[in-house]
Amino acid sequence: MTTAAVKATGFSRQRTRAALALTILPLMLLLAVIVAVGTGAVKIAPAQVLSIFLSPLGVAPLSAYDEQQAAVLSAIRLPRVVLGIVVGAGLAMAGAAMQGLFRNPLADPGLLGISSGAGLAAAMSVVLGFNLFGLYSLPAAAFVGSLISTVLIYLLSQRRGRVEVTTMLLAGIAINALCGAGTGLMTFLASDEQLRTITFWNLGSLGGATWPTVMSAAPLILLGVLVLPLTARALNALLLGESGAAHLGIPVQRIKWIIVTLVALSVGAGVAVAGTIGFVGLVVPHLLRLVIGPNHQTLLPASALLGATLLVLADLISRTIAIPAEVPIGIITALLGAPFFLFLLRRERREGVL
Amino acid sequence: MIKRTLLASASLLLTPALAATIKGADGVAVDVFNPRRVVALNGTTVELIYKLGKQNTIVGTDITGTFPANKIAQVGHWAQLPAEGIIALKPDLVIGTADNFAAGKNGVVVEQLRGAGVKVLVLPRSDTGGLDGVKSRLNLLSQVYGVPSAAASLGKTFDTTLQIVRNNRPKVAPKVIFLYAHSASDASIYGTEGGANELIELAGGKNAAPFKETKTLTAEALVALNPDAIVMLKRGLDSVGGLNGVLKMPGVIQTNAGKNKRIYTVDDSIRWIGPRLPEFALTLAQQWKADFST
Repeated sequence: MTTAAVKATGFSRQRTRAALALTILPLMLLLAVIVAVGTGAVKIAPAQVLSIFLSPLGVAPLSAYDEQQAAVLSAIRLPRVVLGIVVGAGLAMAGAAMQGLFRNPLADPGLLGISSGAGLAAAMSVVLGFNLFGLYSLPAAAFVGSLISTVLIYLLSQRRGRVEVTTMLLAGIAINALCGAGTGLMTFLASDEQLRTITFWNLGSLGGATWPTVMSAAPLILLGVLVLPLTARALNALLLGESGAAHLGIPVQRIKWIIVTLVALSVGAGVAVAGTIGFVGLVVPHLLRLVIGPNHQTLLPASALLGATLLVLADLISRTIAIPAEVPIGIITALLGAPFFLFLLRRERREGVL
Repeated sequence: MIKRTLLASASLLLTPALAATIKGADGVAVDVFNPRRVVALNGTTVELIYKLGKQNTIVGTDITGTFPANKIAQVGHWAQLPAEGIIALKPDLVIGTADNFAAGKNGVVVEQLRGAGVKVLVLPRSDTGGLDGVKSRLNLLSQVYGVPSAAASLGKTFDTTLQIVRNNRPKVAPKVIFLYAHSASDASIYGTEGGANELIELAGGKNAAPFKETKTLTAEALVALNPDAIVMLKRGLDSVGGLNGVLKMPGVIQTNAGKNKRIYTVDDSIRWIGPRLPEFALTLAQQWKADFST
C-alpha cells in the first residue's frame, strides 16, 4: 500500500518534471541562440543584428551597420550557431536512443564505431592526400568511414537474422581498437602539418562552419532527430527486455535496425563536419534521465533540446573566452557538463532515486 | 564606409607608387595599398616584416609570432585559425604562408575571410625552399609595403653572411642527427625535409636521419647511425634536463656525439625557414669548425 503510494507520487513527480522540462528547454535553447548570435569577437550590437536580419525583407535599418558586420553575422557566426544546434541535437538524441537500445547508461554512439571509423577515414584522407572534393574531402571521407565501421559492426553482431546487443558491444570494442590502430599508423606516417590537422579534428570544432557545411549535414542529422522520437514507445518497451518487448508486439529486430541506421547517419554527419565532440551524447541523456525519468517519449526530444543548447553555449565560450583566439570545443563541453553531472549524480543518490 | 573610401582615394593620389597587385602562392591576386593593419601569420612572416621595418603595421599573429619579443595579439594556433577573431582585429590585409593555410579547416577560413571582404595574401611555403624561399617571401612582402630596395639590401646581407658560413664550415662534414625532444621519454628525429635539414646542410653537416619526415628512432638505430653531432631545440634540451639529461637518454652515450659531448642547440623556430637562417647556420658552422677540425 505504502510503496504503491510512493511509486505513484514518484511517477507523477517525474511527469510534472517532464512537462516542465519540455517547456523550459526550448526557452533555454532560444535564449542560448540569441546570446550566441549576438556575441563574438566582432562587435555587433543587438539592434544591428536585428537590422541585418530584417534587411532582406526590405526593412530600413534600425541601427546603422557596415557590410563587414553583415558578412560576419550571416556567413560566419550564423552558420556556426545553426551547426551547433543541429549537431548538438543529433549527438544527444542519438546517445539517448543508444542508451535505450542497449539498456545501458554507459552506451553512446562511439560504441558503434562511428567516431573511430570517422577518425580513421579523416586521418587517412589527410595523410594519403585524398582531395576529390576539395575543402570538403575530409568531411566526406569521415562520413563514409563512420558508415563503413557501423555496417561492419552491425554485420558482425548478426546471428541467424537476429542482432545480439552484447555481441554488438564487443564487436564495437574490437572495431574501435582496429580503427585506433589504423589512426595511430596514419599519425606515424603524417607530417607535422598533417599531425596538427588530425589532432585538432579529434578535439572537435564548429569553426570553419559555412552554409554548405550546414546544408550537407543538416538533412541527415534532422532525419534522425525527427524520426527517432517515433521509436520512443518501442524503446520504452525494450526497458522490459527484448522478449518482453516482443510480447508487447514490438517488432524488435526492425526497431534495432532503424535505430542503428538513424544514429549512424546523424552522428556520422555530425562528426564529419564538426570532428569528434565527446561527452554530449553520453551525458546529456543521462543527466535528463536523472531529472525527468526514463520515458523515451519525453527523454528523446528533451535530449535533443538540451544537447543543442549545450553545444551552442560551449561554442560560444570556445570562441569568446580567448578572443581573438579559439579554444577547442571538446574541452569546453566536458568542462561545462562534467561538474554539473557529478553534482546531480551525488544529489540524486542522496535522495535515494538511484 | 564612404569615409574610408574617401580617405583611401585621397592617399592614393598622394602616393600612387604604393598601390600594387600581388599574386599570392594560391594564384589569387591581391590589391594592396599601404596596409596599416596587418595580421601576420607564421613566425617567419612576422620576422620578415620586422626586417622591413614595418612592424608597426602588425595587429595580430599566431602562437609562433614571438620573435622579436612583442606584445602583438595572438589569434591562437596556426592549425586552427579563427575567422571571426581575425576579422575582429580589423585588418586591411592578412598575410600567411601556404603550408599553414593548408592545415585543418584553414582553407575554409581563408574563404570566409575573403567573403567578409578581408584581403588575404598567401605567401609560398615556409617549411621548404631554403634561403631562396625566404627571399621570395621577402620579395612579396617588400611589394606589399612598397619597399623593394629594403628587400634587395636584405637579400645581399643574407648572401654576405652565407659566404662567411661557407668559409667557416668544418673540413669534414659531421654526421648529424636533429633530436626533437619534448621530454626524456618522448623524442623524435627531424628528417631530411624542413628547416632543420636546411640548417644542418648550410652549416656543413650531413643529416644522418634515414627518413624524410619527423619520426621516432629506436635507441639501437641511433647507436647504429652513430652521429658525430646531435642538434636540439633550446626548449628540447631544457625538457630533457640539459646536457646531463641528454647523455642519459637511451643510446646517446654510445654514439660519438654522446661520448664527446657534441650536443648543440638551435632556436626553437627552426622548422620554419626565416631570415635568421644564415645567422643560425653561421653559429653552428663555427662551433662545428672548432669541434671537428681534426
